[in-house]
Order: sequence, then C-alpha cells, then structure tokens
Amino acid sequence: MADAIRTGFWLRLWRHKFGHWSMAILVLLVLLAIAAPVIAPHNPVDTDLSAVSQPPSILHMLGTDELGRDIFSRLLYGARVSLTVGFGAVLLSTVVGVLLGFISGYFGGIIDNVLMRFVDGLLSLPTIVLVLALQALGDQNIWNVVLVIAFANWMQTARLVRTEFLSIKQKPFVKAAVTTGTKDSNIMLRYILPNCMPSVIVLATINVGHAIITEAALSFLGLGIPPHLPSWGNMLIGGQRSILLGNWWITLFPGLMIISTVLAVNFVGDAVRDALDPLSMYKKSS
Amino acid sequence: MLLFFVRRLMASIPVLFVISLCAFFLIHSAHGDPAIAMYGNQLERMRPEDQMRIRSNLGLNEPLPVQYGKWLSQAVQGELGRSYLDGRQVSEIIAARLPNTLILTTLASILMIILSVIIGMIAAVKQYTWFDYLSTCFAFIFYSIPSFWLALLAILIFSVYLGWLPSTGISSIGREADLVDRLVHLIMPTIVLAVSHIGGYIRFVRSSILEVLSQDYILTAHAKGLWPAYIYYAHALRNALIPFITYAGMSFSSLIGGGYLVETVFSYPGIGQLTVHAAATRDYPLLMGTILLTGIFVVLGNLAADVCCAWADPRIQVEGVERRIGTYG
Repeated sequence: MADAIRTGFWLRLWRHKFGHWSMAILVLLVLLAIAAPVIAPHNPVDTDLSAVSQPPSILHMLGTDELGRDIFSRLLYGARVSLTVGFGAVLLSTVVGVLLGFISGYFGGIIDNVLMRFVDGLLSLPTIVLVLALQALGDQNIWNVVLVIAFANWMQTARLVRTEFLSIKQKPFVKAAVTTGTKDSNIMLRYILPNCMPSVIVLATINVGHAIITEAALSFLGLGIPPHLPSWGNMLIGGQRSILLGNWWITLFPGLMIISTVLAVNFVGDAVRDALDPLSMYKKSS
Repeated sequence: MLLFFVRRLMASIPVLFVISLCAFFLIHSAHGDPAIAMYGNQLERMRPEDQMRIRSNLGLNEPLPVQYGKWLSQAVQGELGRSYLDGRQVSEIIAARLPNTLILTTLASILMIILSVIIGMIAAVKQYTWFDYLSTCFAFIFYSIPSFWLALLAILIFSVYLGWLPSTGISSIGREADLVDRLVHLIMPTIVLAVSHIGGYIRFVRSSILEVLSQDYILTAHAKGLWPAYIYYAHALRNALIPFITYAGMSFSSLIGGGYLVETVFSYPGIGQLTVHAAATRDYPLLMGTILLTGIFVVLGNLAADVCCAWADPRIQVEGVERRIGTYG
C-alpha cells in the first residue's frame, strides 16, 4: 500500500503540467554548477581590462562586466553559490523548524506559548530586515549567509509543524498507539513525524525560492557573499554600477538566472503539493 | 467594535516585546558590547580606568535585564540613542525619512490592491480564457522576480533608454518644493514595488473569487435574473474580500521588506535605505531604531487588516463574545 502511494507520488509529480520541465531545469542547473570548471570558457575571477563591459560576442557569449570578467563563466560559478545557499539554508531551517515545532507541540503550556510568541515576533519583521541585522553582526562568508538565512526562515516551518503535531495527536491511530503503551519517542518519530512530512516538504520547496532571492538581495546590498566570489547577487552590483551607461547585459543575465531558478523551484513546489495531495488535483480538474 | 479593537491591540503587545528584545539582543551581541562597537580597536589601547568609565557611562556594568528595562523605557519615550556615525539623535534621523517611506508604501499598496482585485476578478470570471492563462502566467513570473532586479530593469528601460523618468532620488536639484517633480520621481518606485508583489495577490483574488462563485447563493442570484456585473461586484467581491484582507495583512511584512530594497535601488531617502546604510556601516543604535520601527509598521498593518476584516464581516467581532457566553451560560 505504502509502496503504491509512493510510486503514485512520483508518477503524479511527473505528470504535473510544468513539473517535469521544472525538475529538468533544476537538474540541469545542478549539473552546470558541478561541471562549472569544465564548461566555463574563462576564469570567473580573472579581470581583463582590455575587454571591459563588452556586449555579448563570440568570444564572450554573454558579454563581460565592468572589470572585464566573463559573465557566462561567472553565472555558472554563481549557480554553485545560489544553490548551496538556497538548499543549505532551507535544509538547516527545516530541521530547526521541525525540531522546535515538535518541542512546542509536545510540551505545550508555557514552553509552547513562549516559543510561539517568539515566532510571531520574528515573523513580523521582513526577512530582509532580519537578515540585514544579523549580517551586521558577523563576518561575510558563505556559511554565515547560510546560517543567517536559515535563521530568518525557520519560523513558518515551526508553526506549521506545531499545528500538524497537535492535529495528528488527536487522530485515532495515535491514541491506539498510546493505549498499547508505545513509547512517546516512538510515537513522535514513527507516527507523527512521517505524517507531518508532506506539508513540511511543500513549505521547504517554496522556502528554497525565498532563500535564493534573499541571498541575491543580501549580496546585491553588499552584505552577503564576499565580493570576490561570483554570485548572482554580487553580479547585479556591477549591473547597478554601470546601469547609467546602458550596459544591459550585466544586469539582465544574472536576473534571468535568478528568475528561472526560482520559477522552477516554485513550479516543483506546486507539483509536489498536487502529487502529495491527489484530492486537490481531482478538485482542480473537475 | 471597540472591545474587539482593544483585544487585538493587547494581543500585539507580546509581538512588540519580542521585536524589542531582538533589537536589544542585536546591539549586545555585536562584537562583545556597545563600547567595542563604538570605539573599535581604540578601546583596547585605552587605559583600564578609561575603559571602565566608558562602560559605566554607557550603563554596561549593570545586569542585562536592568539594562533592557532602562533601554525599553527610553525607547518607549522615543529616546533611541545617538547614531555612531554622525552623533545625531536616532529618532530625529528616522523622523526625517519616515514620511517618504509612508508615502511610497501607501501608494504602492493602493495601486497593488486595485490592480490585483481587477485582474484577479476578471481572471476568475473569465476562467480558462486567454486572459486567465495570461494573468496566471504573469502572476507566477512576477511572484519569482526579485523586486530589486525589476527596479534595475525599470531604470535601464525608462531612464536610460527612453529617458522618460528620473532614475534616482526624491526630487530634482533645485526643485525640492515642486510637487509635480516629486510625483514624477515617485512613479517608478511605486509601480515597481506594486508590480513585484502583485503575483501572489492576483492568484489569491482569483482563487477566492472562484470559490465564492461556486456557492449556492451566487446560483440563486443568477436564477433571480440579476445583472451578472452586479452579482460579481456586490455578491462575489464582497465575500471574497474578507480572506483577501487577511492575506494582505499577512503579507504586509514582505511588502515592507520589498519596499526597503526598492528604496535602495532608487536611492529613495526612506527608512529602507537607512536600514541598509545602518547595517553596512554597523551603526547599531540606528539599526535598532529602524528594526523597532519596521516591527511597529508591520504590527500596525496587521491590526488594520484585522479591523478591516471585522468591519467587512461582523461575524468576526461576535465570535469572541459568543464563545464567552458559551462558557459562562
């Protein structure tokens, strides 16, 4: 039965209108990021002052930036940063969110109250403000950016998991397990956690898109990834510097990369949601 | 209504408390303590008694809860300390820029709500037509576009290539009092901010109108022979508005955050540009001030959404009362 649901899940995921295209794009991006040293025609950090701000040409497929660095090569290496930050931060924030959601749901009472008020407070600050404030404390490196973005993203997961925990706790199969004397830890890990996972996965997918945009914004403001590393956000700084010269290619291409990645992630999130909840798909088509 | 308002107001106090705690924690975890943040390496070169004097002047030798209490009581009175960089009162710096942010956010909100309601409604009424597909497609794309990139692109197109609109600032030099000039400077930031957040709103309006349209009372209204436009406006929109207001309240904080980024790109002298500047220069008192203010913004926005909801749907106000009657009677 469980196997049938699982195979059904992958099939439904594949059948979603944009699902497989988006997944293909994401897989392609990951491959490009991994193979960046092989594919990249130029060194992404090599400046070439004899070829500053060149429009797209045969030598530089997508042109060069204001320091003469090849934009195509930088985009490839930038994918590494964006994907690492996006997936790394979301992995971390999801683990923390699930953990705190469980603590809140399990203990209840004052712990639950304090934790949830804390969540309310943090959620009322815009992500970018929270991230800016935290970045002002630490040093600039990629792992700090991952940590900071993870810290700004765990709250919704925690709140969601707590709600799920409380509703699943009331279900008959959990009560049956309690009656038969199953240990609390066992109930949480084997009864409640697997049933929380569908909604957690959907939220996590959406969060990956948010995390990638947040990283780009932070780097664009000069407070994210250190300037010497190629990241899509960092590349847009150059775009802004030379914007009044009308060098559109420096701004356009990193932005298109961000949009297509986030769009693909969001479509996959949509497809995952429909695949995990076949009923919603049925409702949609009827 | 008043009771409802007071109850909601009380509920937002813990949220503000947490925000103030975060702001306080920020300055106290900043590189050890505020004395180091203020003087940097120079502090180590000072004599121990000077270091002691600075710390006691800043009130750092008292226990943390006492410091927090003092800071909070001052903050409530609008006394947020002085900026590290230019020594001016933080409240003064913020007050000078507050109107600009308020104008931009308000204009963008109005534009966004009007546009998304109109587009979402047409898309729902004309479900599965080219308009519906096109608007859904655009909604998805705009949902994934970073606001600051859209701002850069807008500058590139409308300022650099077409030369129609000014790219930065709030007014042209020497024309500070000219209202028309100021409005022209507002056009691009407002539209970019509104459009970059419109995606989620369009999808939300569309789906909630579709849900209302499938209700029996809409069918009844059609059966009565009412004019369709009247049904959509008076029956469907009114009912779809309530979840929409809740959604708008919930996503208000992301609108504020997006506004901060847009302000920075357009060099628009508002709170957002100030926050970014404070973070980049590690001006902690200023940063604390803007964080507190942002939190208050969002809490007020949520409060306004709740009050609007209660006004649009009187059941919401009564619910709490009914529950009380239930427990007592």
